[in-house]
Amino acid sequence: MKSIAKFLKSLLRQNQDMPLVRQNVNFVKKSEEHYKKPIVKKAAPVIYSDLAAKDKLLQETKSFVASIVESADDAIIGETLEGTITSWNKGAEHLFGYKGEEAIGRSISTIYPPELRDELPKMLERLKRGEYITHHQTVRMDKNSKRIPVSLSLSPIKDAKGNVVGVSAIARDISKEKELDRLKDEFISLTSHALRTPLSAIKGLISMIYQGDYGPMNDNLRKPLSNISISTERLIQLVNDLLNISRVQTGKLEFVLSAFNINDPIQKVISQLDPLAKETGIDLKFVAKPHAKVQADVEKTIDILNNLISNALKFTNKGSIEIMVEERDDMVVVMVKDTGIGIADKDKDRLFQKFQQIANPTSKQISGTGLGLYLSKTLANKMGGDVWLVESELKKGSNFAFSLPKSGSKRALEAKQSLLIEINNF
Amino acid sequence: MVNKKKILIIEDDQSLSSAYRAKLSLHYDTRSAITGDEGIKLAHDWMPDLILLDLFLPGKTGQEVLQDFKGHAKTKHIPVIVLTNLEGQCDKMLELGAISCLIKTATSMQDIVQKIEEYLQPEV
Repeated sequence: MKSIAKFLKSLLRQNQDMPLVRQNVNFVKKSEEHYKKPIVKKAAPVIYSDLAAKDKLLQETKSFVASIVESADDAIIGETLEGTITSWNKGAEHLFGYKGEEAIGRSISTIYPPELRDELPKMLERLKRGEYITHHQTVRMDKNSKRIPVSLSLSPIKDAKGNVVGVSAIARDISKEKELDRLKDEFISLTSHALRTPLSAIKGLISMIYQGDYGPMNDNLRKPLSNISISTERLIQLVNDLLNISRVQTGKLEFVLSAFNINDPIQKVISQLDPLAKETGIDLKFVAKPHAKVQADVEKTIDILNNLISNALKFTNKGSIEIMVEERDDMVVVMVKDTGIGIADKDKDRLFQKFQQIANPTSKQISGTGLGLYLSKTLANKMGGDVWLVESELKKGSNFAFSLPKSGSKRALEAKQSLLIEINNF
Repeated sequence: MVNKKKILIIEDDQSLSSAYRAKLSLHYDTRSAITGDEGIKLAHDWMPDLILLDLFLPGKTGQEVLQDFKGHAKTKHIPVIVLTNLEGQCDKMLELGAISCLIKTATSMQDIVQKIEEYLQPEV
């Protein structure tokens, strides 16, 4: 039988273009013998050549897969459903320090730090149900008990009938990414201090000169000092926005969710901005206040409201700004409607992108950082809400909306859970 | 002559430190330290009535300085106002015994003066 197979294989090699017939052949291979035996009985040469080609293809595929597995930098590990290691590539040897012959046959818990061993049964249970676990960031342990941060992707291995018979695990060393994260955090922290301390000094000194702490104030200096003060505030805002964006992107911005009446932060922001509105002759009105309770972070809600109302003030030269609260199903929506210069259709799409500024040709006010709307929307999204443009027409005004989940609603619960998941992933 | 209440300013940024002193010296007796160790020594020797403390200091951190004050019978009663731009640290500082924690860029000189006046009556 061996010689026949050999002969057919060599025949196939000489006749590479021979057509292959696939009918009547069960290609689900269980063992070498399984397909060789019945085929000899049928003695159909075309089928032989087909199977020989299949065998060749299978061998080549196996060898191709094996070469990928062996040359991969990532650790690729095969396990039984009980967690016994069945295969261990060079990447695994390199990452965990165990040779293949040491690792195969041992339990995968060998590379689990003792404090994380509870993870194993839970993971195996999920895999047995056919679930995939992807990009799970955790820690494993090498032969010298050194902790290694890894990103794990685990897949169930299924047999022909779809039964889960084992597990394949890919572990990627993310030490470098973690180190970069740490450096980034350190950089943010240093920047926040290094840039903001001199800014605090400038801010403090300007106010003291203004208030006559260094002697009588010269009237000629009022205007330039006021401009220095506005620029300093703008720089402080820019640094704060950049820090917040960086924190939000790295999941480092902490959200303290609580239930509160949305009217409270609105009143607070209005009272802060009212002097500026009066100065420019704008009527700032809070017209609808249904006492709706939201679930959100109070400080971040104030930041968002401050951004929307300040923008309205910045782009309104005459008329009014109306703030309304509406309840819509699970959400509470705050609308900020102005009679300002409006937004051109071509600008509407880029409103919520980073560093986008819409020019106000009629206003002499110093423009913002171009980060406000982007940050407001990002913060609102994290709390389960949103910020969007309802409508805007040039020379007539704009209407922006800001939504937050109503306290105790299903949406509020989902937002809370989603923030928790995010915290756990970092 | 009326004895002015004493305020110790521990701040490594010299322009900020001198701005605080300029603002406060009319009503208070002020001294400044630019490192944590210097601040601790001055607090023990001079016994101020209130301390303004920055967190990001060369050598000992502001947190270590605060812990030192709160760990010594002689200095533990002195009210400490933390002034920082590391807003994430404020809750911890209040837990450690600071009476207030202000974010520098969000606080005006007047806010600082008002906060001090809650604890110390200025001499006029």
